Amino acid sequence: MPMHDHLSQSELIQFLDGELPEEAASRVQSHLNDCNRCRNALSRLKTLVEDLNEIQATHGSLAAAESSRDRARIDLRAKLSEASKRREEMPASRRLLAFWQGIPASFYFAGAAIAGLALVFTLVPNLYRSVAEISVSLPNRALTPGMTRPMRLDQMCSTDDGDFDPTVPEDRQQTVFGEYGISADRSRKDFQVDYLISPQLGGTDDIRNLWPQSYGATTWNAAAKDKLERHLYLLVCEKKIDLADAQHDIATNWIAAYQKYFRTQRPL
Amino acid sequence: MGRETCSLEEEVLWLHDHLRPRLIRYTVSLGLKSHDAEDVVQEVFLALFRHLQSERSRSNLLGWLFRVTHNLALKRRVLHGREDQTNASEDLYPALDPGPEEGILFGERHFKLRRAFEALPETDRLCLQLRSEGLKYREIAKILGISLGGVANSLGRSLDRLQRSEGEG
Repeated sequence: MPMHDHLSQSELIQFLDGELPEEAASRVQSHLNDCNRCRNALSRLKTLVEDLNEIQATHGSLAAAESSRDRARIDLRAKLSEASKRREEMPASRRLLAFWQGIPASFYFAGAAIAGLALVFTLVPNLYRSVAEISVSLPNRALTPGMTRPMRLDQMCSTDDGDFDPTVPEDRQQTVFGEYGISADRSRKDFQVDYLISPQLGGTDDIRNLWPQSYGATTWNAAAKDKLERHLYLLVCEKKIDLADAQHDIATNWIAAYQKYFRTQRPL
Repeated sequence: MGRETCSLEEEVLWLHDHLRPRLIRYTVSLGLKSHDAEDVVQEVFLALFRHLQSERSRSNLLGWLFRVTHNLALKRRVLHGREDQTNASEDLYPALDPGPEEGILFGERHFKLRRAFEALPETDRLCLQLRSEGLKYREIAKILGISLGGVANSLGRSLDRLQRSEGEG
């Protein structure tokens, strides 16, 4: 940056806010090192933004908000209780509908676009595998809603053999691949037929509890799900969560369950 | 389930206690009267409760809250029509005139700056305000529906103007 091109106010505020890309920021910094005028401009700008912050702090609405705080809190508490009660009374099917209705329209458009792309890709044989990988991070809920058997907690927690993925019989694996439209001979090395609700958490080997899951091609792979299953098992046995909640969460969306129970957006 | 819901309620109430004044300030600066701003902010926290209850993303809840506040406030502004916004700026800084002690140097500079700030075009004013709230440019762009470069330009333009106003008369 030549010395005669002084920094603009926009560049200075971006620099101050740490919003410039690294390269631009170091260019601005080296200009500031050499240019007294821009250093003064930056100093004036700092004073100005501090003044603006002070003005914001004297905003008339703040005092009014403070004086009505307790009333507002009581009102909100009542509304939250009502909302919780309504939700608990809502049948599961309506909750699911409410969930879908709560998703912004843009997600539906994005979903439609992805579905369109998936359709195009499935017509190209070489891309078959990558489409399959994308589609199996989560099971198809219509095909795999999750199935459980009645289980007593003491029994469940005293019989852990450490095997969270007992082998699924060959014929059943073939059926699962068939259900999902994945040819078994091509996909065996990339997928394992997994229990949606693991047997340790009361899941059965019913076809409705089995789905083909990617080993390593996606971020949310079989290793991540195994980790979640072990974690949930421990939480249930330590009575930190209910078995029914664990089963429900893992069956509804195991990725969301992972994020919830490990408090992370990405697999650990 | 009941226990989780209960702790979720407490979490939302805690956020309400800490962030409500800032959201009300933002809503009022969008031209709503204080009592409407109160209603909007209640709606926002109710929406937050539903958002968390549905286990949606928890990343950047502050940005989420300002975005929803912005949208609900604009919706209400449209519903209530223009007449309700008349003199809404009276709510902004009730003590706009500098008092006798305030009327020199520091106070006068603030007074002038405040007037220049209020005279900025709405998008420029909101950009500055959201920046003061500690939001990143990306979040500001999303809230105001402008580009990232648009945020930087708006801030540069407004700050230039405010600085010039300080130098005037």
